[in-house]
Amino acid sequence: MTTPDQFEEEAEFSHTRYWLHLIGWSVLLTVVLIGGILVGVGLKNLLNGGDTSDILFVVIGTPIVAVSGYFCWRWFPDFTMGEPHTARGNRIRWLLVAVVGVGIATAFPIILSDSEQRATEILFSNGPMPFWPAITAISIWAIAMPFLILFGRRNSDEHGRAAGDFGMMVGFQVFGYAAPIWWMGWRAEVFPQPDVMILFIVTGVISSIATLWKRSS
Amino acid sequence: MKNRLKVLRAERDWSQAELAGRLDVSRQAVNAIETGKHDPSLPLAFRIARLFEMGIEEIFDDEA
Repeated sequence: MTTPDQFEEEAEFSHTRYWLHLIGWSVLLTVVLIGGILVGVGLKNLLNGGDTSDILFVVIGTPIVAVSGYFCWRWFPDFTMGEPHTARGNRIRWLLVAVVGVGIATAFPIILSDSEQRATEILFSNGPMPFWPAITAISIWAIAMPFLILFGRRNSDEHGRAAGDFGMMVGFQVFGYAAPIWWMGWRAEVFPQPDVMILFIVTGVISSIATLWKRSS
Repeated sequence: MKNRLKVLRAERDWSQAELAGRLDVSRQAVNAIETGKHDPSLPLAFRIARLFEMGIEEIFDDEA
């Protein structure tokens, strides 16, 4: 019979390795995305006239996409990070791909319209948006998100759900704490007008960190 | 809550990933249960007990 001492050599789950893997992939995908945006925006502006900065976007963006894309292709298949190949696990991995896809699809019309207006803040600008890019982005987000949330909820295991619930609780409490302070401060002319995107991003980031912490603790 | 999951897994020469696959949970979940950081729900405790063909109280000990 095998005793606990005999299997200490088995490669146990390493949170450090797991999160390094996850962070590495996030960084790589972000680099691909940034490179793609540079090339896309540069090419679009060049087709409409453009200037030297647009040529620079394409010249810088193309090798970034090529190199990071190559490493994505080389390292692609192993998104499992030691997790078993089960139907549920595969659905969760596809969910992550779908979330990234919806994020890109939603951001793309916004970025294009911002670049057309030469907005200095890309994506999180509060400037006016043309009607059709806005309707496109709203439609993609509004239709896809409920399905993705429901799909994720149904396919998470109980440990993942518990971590997600904890993260959402922390995120909502941060929102419930910060939003009234900002709103009251704005009315007293102490703070600038509340910005819904800043609240969304801050609560989202804090909620995600809390979820990851709970999953690994 | 203490449990004998790691010992029972070792007796069958299963990795954490293999046990996770048999229970249809993540490897992180198995690790969290083994280290006592996550107490499984009753349905999952029953699945574990059935997998090892033992009673729940033979695997989990709430008094330890």
